[in-house]
Amino acid sequence: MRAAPDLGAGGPIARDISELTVVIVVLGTAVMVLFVVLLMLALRSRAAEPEGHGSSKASDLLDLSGSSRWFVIGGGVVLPALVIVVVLGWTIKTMRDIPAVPPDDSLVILVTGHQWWWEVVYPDGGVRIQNEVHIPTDRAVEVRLNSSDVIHSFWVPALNGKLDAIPGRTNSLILEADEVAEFSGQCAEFCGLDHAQMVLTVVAHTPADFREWLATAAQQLPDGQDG
Amino acid sequence: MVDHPIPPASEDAPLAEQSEYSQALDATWSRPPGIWGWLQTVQNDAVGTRLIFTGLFFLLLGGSVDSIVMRLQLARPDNDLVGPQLYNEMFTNHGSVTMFLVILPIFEGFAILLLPLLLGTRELPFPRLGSFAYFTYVLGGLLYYSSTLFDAVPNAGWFGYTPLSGPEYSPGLALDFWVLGLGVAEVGAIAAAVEISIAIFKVRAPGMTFARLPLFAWAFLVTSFMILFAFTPLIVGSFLLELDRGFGTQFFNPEAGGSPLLWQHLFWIFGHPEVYIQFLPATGIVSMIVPVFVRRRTEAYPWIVASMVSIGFLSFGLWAHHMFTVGLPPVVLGFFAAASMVIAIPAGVQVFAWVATIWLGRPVWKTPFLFVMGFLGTFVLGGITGVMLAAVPFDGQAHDSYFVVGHLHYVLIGGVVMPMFAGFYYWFPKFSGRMMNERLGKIHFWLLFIGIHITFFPMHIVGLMGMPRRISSYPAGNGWGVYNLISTVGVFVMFAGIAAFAWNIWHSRRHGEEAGPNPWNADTLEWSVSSPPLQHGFTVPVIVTSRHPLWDQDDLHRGDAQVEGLARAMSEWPVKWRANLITSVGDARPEEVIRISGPSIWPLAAALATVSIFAAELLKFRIGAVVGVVLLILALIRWNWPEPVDMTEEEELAFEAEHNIPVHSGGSPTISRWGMGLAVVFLSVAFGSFLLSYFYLRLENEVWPPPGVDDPSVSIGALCAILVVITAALVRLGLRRIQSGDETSLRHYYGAAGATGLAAMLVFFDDLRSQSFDATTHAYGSIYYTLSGFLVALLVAALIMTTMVLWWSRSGRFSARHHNPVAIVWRYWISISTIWLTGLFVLYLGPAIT
Repeated sequence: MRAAPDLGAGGPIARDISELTVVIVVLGTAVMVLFVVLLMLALRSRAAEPEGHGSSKASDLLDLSGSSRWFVIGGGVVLPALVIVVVLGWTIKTMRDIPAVPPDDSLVILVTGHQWWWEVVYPDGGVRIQNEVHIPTDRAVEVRLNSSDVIHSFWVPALNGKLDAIPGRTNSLILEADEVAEFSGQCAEFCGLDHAQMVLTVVAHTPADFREWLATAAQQLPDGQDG
Repeated sequence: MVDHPIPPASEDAPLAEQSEYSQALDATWSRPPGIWGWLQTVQNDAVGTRLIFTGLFFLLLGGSVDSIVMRLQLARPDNDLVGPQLYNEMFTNHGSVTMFLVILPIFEGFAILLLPLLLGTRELPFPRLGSFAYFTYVLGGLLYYSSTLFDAVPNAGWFGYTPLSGPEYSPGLALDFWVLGLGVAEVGAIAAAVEISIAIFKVRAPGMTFARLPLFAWAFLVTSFMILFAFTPLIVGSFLLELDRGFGTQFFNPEAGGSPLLWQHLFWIFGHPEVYIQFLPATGIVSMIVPVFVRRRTEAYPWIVASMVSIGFLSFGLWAHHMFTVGLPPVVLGFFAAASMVIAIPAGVQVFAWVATIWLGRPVWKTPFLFVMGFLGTFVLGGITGVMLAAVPFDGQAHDSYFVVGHLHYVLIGGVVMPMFAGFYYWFPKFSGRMMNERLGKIHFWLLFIGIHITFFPMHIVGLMGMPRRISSYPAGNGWGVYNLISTVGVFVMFAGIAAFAWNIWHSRRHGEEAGPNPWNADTLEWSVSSPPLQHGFTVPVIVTSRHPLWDQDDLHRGDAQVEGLARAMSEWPVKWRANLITSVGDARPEEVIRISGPSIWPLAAALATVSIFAAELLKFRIGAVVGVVLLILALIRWNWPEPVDMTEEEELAFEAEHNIPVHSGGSPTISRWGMGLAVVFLSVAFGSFLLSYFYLRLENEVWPPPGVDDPSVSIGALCAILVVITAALVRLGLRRIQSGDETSLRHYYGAAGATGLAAMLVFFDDLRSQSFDATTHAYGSIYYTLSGFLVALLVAALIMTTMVLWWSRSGRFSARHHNPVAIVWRYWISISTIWLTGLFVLYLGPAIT
């Protein structure tokens, strides 16, 4: 199922999330329509004689009886509970489908947020670049996020949700692309003056192209000490 | 849509009686004349109105002007109308002002203005506290806004995430204006909450049990407790941030044992309940308006009460859903996702109770009801997107995107501002004596309703397309432009609606139709008095026998003979001082006649002193801050100084004997017990927030204390603990003595308690001075010294209070019958001893037990 065209999923993880998105958007729309219909019916109903303000003069706080209680229980408890069961169930299913721990063969990339650029290091390839992440399409990529100054957030919507880059700790985000394409991303946590300019691009290559790119980059863009 | 007239008052809704003493009472309760009198005003209607209109003023500044400029900037891609600097300042200001200076102050204004009339009482129990709340709020707001004059405008977002808001990345004064200015305003919010909650417990009309309490009051009862529990951690968090910024501590610096996430926890433990603190009062207003405009009593009242209470509790268990992307473990994510969704159930119950009431009644399409319909249509959508955002993987995409901006404005404008306007149209006639214009009201409604959806609906879409929030510009070519342009058009439609509202107020306050006491044929007590009401509201206190007194009761002054006699008597005596009736918490039976404090300049003085402490810290003029503290203490003492009463003891005793009820013209023991109780709650929550910070920092550090620092000396901690226990025992014995009338022994015991308390502090202080570490090299030292400072401050306050009691006891003021201050000081000592013992335990044994 290739869903949620707005998110333009470029890999299995983002596709799982898109599926969840479609489910909850459809469900949410249905609930909203149902509610508006009920409200219209309520406004048009001529159920009661208005002059007496209704007969119930209950003054016991714990008296939960009354003609409308099944309506309130049905709409206020049962309906949300059913929706919650579906949404929470699908949420947990999606959380399980998305790998929590990177597979053993994943490619590790270190990404460090700076005000206002991304430092990208390939520890195995000896490459250090900026604002561009090159990944292969045949395997998962583990992005180890860190920050050298304030909190940033790494977000490439077509590949996965966002994850924060926090000074003093390392967060792991898994990316999986299954098509050769360029995906745009952006810092999603407000990080100061030029937050809006802190963009990045993820380039997904075929495995062979990726090896070639890494080899070339290692010669042209070696991992120096200058940062 | 047919404009049904309100049906005539077929049942002759009863009115509250006036008497020959009405004018005299009105004069007693009026404020002194002139500008000096204006500054001394403590009356609830003045304070409430000021809060509402000051809030609306800040709404124009921070809600409207900023939004328009921001929307113009975002109207097209790569726009350069304002640069990133100004844009960042504007969205920071927009969020901070609307969250701290607009919604809550306006709602607290509604509560302070309305509650006395709704509860059938003359005045709130702490009118001076209300005045203090107003002045701290407005002075804090001005301190915050004065950053513009110094060209140091805050620009780190309304959430102020560390380390961006810390000393390294936000040098200069901008963030100090943010922390300190808003900090003063938060003090005001807490003060008002204390006032409101005690009022709802203790000054309800005789017979107004909790089962008959108007839902507006229920909503504020829950809200005021939430304010106490939510704003206090925020004040503690802000305090720690200011310590990092101004004193070099390391709470939020990961390089020295601090943690940026500690700020996020403290902020969102406040920030999420804050959403419901804003929403619950709105549901209270809606619950008042729905039954009146469908001519039908509230369906499922107990269910609505139960949902309000459960929302209050649940809202404190959801904060981490604002932190789904910081890298929390899956179990934690799952828990907070489930908790966040579950709150849809109480919210749903409320909504369906209103729909049921509407179903069984017949709508009258006046402006307040229109706004309630707009509320339902808009808020429910915001609630649905809220449940969606709790779905963790979806939140990974939507978090910090425009989807959230759309969601939160549906909730806050649809769910909060719409009911606020509904309430404004509904109660305006009560306080101005004139109706607001219906045609303008409907224009206002439709422009606002359509404008909201044009502005905020497209934001959901553009957010799912990947547009992050808080960006000052965006590139062309990814299809975001058209949605942003639509939003920009929408904001002008909304603004036109607001303009219609402003014109309506201006026009109607002079030229509106005369309202009369009950223009809507409503059911609650505020509509039983004249519009506008007399200063004291009710000349003859009313007696309530129904949840909808004006619909069900033929007479508001009939009840059991004893109560009725008391109520009649209170319309004749006392007339020369401000008397009010205190009722019991459970069954609302008369308990005491108390004296409500009158106009005073000292709340303003205390507010000025408070703001001067914060302003001095802002300018790093520390001597000034110390002077401010001294002035504050003096103002508080003067504020509470006993004032003579215009009556004789014989009159008092005669009244007591005839009506079998105590008269307390010198301060009510019950009310001061409640006041001290809530003060202790506040201090305990603050203490709890410090403890939470201590243990969170402990978790973030593998070695605790850091290398090179010795564990604290347990024997000194034990010595302090023993001294504190002895002090508490001495205070208790002193109280016992005065209860049997022995003032001399009281003096001895309180004197001894002061000495042992002082000794405990000196031992503690000496140990602190001899420590080998300081507060600025590692987070351990930072929290150690801060927690110690908090304990010392509590003890200093206790010593000052003890000294006051000793001073007053010299002149023979206390007796077995009158010793209220002694009992207050005793309660304070007992409470802080508990805090001290816990604090000593954590400080001295913390490293060993973890």
